Amino acid sequence: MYKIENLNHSFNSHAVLQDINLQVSSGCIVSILGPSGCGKTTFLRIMAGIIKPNSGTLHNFDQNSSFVFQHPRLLPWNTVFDNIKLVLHDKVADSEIPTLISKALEMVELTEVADSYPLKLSGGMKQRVAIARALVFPAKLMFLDEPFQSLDFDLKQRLMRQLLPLWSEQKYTVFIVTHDIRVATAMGDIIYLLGNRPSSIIKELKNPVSRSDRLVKNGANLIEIENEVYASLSEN
Amino acid sequence: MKTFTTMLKNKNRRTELIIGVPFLLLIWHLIAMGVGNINIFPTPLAVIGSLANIVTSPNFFTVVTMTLSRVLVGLTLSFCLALILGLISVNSRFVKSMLNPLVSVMKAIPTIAITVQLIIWLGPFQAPPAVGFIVIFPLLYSAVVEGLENIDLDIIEMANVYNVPKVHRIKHIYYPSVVSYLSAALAGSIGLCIKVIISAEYISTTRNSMGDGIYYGFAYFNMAEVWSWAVVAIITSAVLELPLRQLKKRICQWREVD
Repeated sequence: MYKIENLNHSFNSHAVLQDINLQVSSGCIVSILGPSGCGKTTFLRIMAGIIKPNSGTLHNFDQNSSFVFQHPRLLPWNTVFDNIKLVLHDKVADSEIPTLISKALEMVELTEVADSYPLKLSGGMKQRVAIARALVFPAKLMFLDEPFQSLDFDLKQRLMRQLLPLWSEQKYTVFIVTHDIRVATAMGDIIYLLGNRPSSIIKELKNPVSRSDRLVKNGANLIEIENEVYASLSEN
Repeated sequence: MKTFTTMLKNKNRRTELIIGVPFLLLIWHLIAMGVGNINIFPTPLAVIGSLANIVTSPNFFTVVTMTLSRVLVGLTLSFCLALILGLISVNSRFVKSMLNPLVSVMKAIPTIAITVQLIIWLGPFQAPPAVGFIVIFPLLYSAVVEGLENIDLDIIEMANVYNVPKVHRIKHIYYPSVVSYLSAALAGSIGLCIKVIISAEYISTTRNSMGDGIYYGFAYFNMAEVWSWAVVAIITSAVLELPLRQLKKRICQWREVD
């Protein structure tokens, strides 16, 4: 169980997050949705342990976790393969590394650029490398900050179709920050809406659609939950 | 596989050699003919003749070796100290504050002023490599400091999140960043080091040196000999820089984009 109690945080005396409370079971995928600048990324970075909050308690978050940043943060002088390998040093046996990286690149459809340097990749490709890097890292807690923003619709759909069963099978606990309602409803078992200034959780929505049914019929099953999200965001 | 950019660069270089160099030689020849006195302004042919005499002289190899050895001493000392002090400075504001004024003075001081001072302190043999050190060290030191200080903090944060071990951070993050800045500075430093050391040798009339060769060429009003030694210096610089440029090309191959 992952729990947050009375989280508050400010930047330069400017309150950003106020009285955040949540409780999430292990193995859950959580989408965090909200308008630009509301503090979603700050919230994610606090959960990942990158920032210490001004006050509040986080339970079970202090463990190894992987993070997909908004910008890929690849080393320009390392190939794609070596960029992913960097996070595996001293964590898995050397003999396993090529197979792990190969599988991850296959999942994000980038097998052919394993030996390429980041400068030769598009923004979307770099972001997929960052996702592959997060997938190979041996941790069951994952944070993704706008992971699909540079990807086209088809690629986004294909990637989500790969990730959902993988996360289910390997029992990942995932927190995804996004401003895309479709991504939030397609991925999240629970959708937290952030709003107001300073931000707090204005609504918690449980996704009624099972993971296996979310991306069938081009997401037609998600219309109801999407409308609920739209309505909640409009109220605020 | 050659990229389009590399092919274009090679094509431009070939064009420069085929068109540019003969054009340069033609202009040189025309100016020399205009001046009309090869002792004041020698023709390309006069320089080539003088160069042949110098190269076939019995002590040519000794002269070039002695000058090069001073260059290597100056460069090696500069490189090693720049690396050590640069690493310390980045981690210690006190050391950095202590060194900054000294480095600024070393960058700005006229070479001639420091050369004559070092001749008095160290004598004609030790002064030239010391001058080389004074001129080159601040460039390499600044490159090391900049290389370390300009590391993307977002990448450091990523390394923190993924618990990348320190050894691998040094190997994959810090070292490539420093090498990138240092290799650029080093490539430029070789030619500069040769120039200042030869100048110092000229002023101190260091025996068995290229600077001394220029000194006697000028003393006997033989400008062809002066220019010949200049050609030797240019060729020596190019030869020394070649392995470094190849290394830099290999290290920085990630920068090549189609």
